[in-house]
Amino acid sequence: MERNEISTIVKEVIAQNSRHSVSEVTFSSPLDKYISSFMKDRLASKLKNRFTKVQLTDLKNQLYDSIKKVSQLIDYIEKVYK
Amino acid sequence: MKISILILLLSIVTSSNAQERIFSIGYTYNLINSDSTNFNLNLDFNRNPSSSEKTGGYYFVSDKFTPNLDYYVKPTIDMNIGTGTSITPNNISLAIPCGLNYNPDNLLISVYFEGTPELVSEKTLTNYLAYLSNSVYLKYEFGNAQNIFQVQPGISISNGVREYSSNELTSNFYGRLTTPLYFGFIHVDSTDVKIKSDQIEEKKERIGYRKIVWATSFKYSHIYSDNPTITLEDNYIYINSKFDYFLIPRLAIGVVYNYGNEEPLFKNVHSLSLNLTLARFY
Repeated sequence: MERNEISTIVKEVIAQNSRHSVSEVTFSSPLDKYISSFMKDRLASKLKNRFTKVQLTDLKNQLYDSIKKVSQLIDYIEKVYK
Repeated sequence: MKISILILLLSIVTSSNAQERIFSIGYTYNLINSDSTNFNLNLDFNRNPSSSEKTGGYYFVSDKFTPNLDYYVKPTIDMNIGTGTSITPNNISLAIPCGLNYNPDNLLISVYFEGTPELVSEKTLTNYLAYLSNSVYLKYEFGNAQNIFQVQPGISISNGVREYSSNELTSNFYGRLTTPLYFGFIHVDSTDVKIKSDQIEEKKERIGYRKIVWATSFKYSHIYSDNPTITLEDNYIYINSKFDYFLIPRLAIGVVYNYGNEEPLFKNVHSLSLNLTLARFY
């Protein structure tokens, strides 16, 4: 899966699980701008539906620990698909 | 002794991972007595108090049954210890929530079904409750990017035993029905501006940061089985309200208000504390 394709899906899933449109989601912004910590486990679950190779446990833990920005989330998924 | 070793081991395991509030340490003004020389320490390991007491954090296991239904296992620890008996519940709790999480596609709401083995001890570890809680709760949030409101109602039934370290007392059955209700409000405002770092590249730099977190939990508990010398009444309420103002992303000053009776000894708590909160991330 190419980075462009991953980016498009990630932006779409973030938009669906927040009150922002796809065009408002930018790569350099912090995830907290779109998704509160309250909703991160839900976001992880919805991403897993689209990226089946991702391990849900690890993704949830990374979202609560080291992934702070949209671009870091895309990097994480890209690494899984490499 | 075995309990203290277990607490220590679980503390090490869970505290090394994601955690919004690591601990808060505070000076307490006691609303009941004029004595205001108390100090308290609250530690939340693997919990996310700004959202609710039971969401977020580090998962041992989480995967999917169906696209909308996840299962998870997540250990948590909560310690509330103080120098006075009426300033904080003086309890240490360990729990391993095992649950199912249903996320409908078109609604920003989640439903949780949880079975939780839990151990709640008083601070000297001489009297503790061990029980299994079965809970159902809803999670809902609304607002915009800067202001988020969260509501989480639920219902929980717990059955287990009360154990005593002293040989003079024997154990007894313990049963409780609780309706917890959590409210949260988060305001985040971080101002980014574009600056020219050099001739080629544009970078963003944070020039301002403001975060306010208010989290309140209200619990109504009906105790239907216990030692009557400890639980003098059948019904108890417990209110905990925390307000944190973050000076920087990892440090906040705050106020905590406690009122009511909480496990394991159900002593009356009524206090207002000033706190320093250390957070691991924002």
